[in-house]
Amino acid sequence: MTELVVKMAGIPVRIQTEYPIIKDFFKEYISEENPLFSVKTCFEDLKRAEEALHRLDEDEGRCYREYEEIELERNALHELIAENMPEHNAFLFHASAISYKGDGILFAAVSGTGKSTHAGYWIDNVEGTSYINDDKPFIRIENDKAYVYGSPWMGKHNRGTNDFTEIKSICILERDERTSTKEVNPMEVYPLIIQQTYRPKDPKKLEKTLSLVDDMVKSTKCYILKCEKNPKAAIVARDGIYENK
Amino acid sequence: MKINKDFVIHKSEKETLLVPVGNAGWAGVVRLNDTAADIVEMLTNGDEDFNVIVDKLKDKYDVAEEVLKKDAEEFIESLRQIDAIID
Repeated sequence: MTELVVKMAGIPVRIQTEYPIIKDFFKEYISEENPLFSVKTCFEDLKRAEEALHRLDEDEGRCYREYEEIELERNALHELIAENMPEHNAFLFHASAISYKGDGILFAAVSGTGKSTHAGYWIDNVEGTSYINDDKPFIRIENDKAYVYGSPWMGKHNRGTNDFTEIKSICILERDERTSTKEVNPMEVYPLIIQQTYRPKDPKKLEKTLSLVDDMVKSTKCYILKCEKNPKAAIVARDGIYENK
Repeated sequence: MKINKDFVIHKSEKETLLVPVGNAGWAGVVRLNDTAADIVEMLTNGDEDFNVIVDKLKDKYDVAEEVLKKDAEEFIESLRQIDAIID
């Protein structure tokens, strides 16, 4: 059995695993700190991870394939860590997260809308932009502020870094022929934000997660970002969010 | 009948939502208007009979009984379809 401590969203977690090679996956997140909680997968966790991967493949039109145990272990650990994060004021969120001159911006949408594509346009065309995490960043609430954190789980394009920043904007993406931004009351997009939030299996942890989401939307601005499939959409979006600032 | 314990009622600033836990069969979110929120609260607080629910709604809302009954029936049926109600 291999043991290591990794720091996720600023929280040290002990991982116990039968796969020593997992250390490579977490190499940028290794910590010497005392862990606040431990995770160790069991057969049911791996089975659940496999079923989730197959569902995702089906949803995204990919052929059925067998997954290696190490892939299942990585995914199962992700879920176990996400399950325990709310007790430490953090949660997992499905969005493409970037930092623009130190401001955290989350691009959230229904799958297939183009979050990663749009985030890529910012990286390529807007100076001062970098990836935090292109798929499922951790969000942590501290002193009434919401911070977005990178993690080693970076989605199919593997884009992200071990970095964090304060979230300033949450952009809900919709495809359109013309790019525009509109600041909205968070309540207008609240159900969609909830739908992109990882939901623990335990009702009490889910209640805590939902109150953390409330803290996040209270401390950030929300926008509906209609965007075209064109690199200039990032410039238009940036100008819209930072108009008069 | 009562609300499945795998569904959590969450009240934020202006919204009341019914949200299932991660491994519930259904992964959506139910937005509750005032009447729906009252029904869900009654079903959460106790094992309520349909007629008791309608009587309590009649006390609160100035709406004809037939309308309340129809709305309550439709809403409860929609909750059953997502397994949010246990008998």
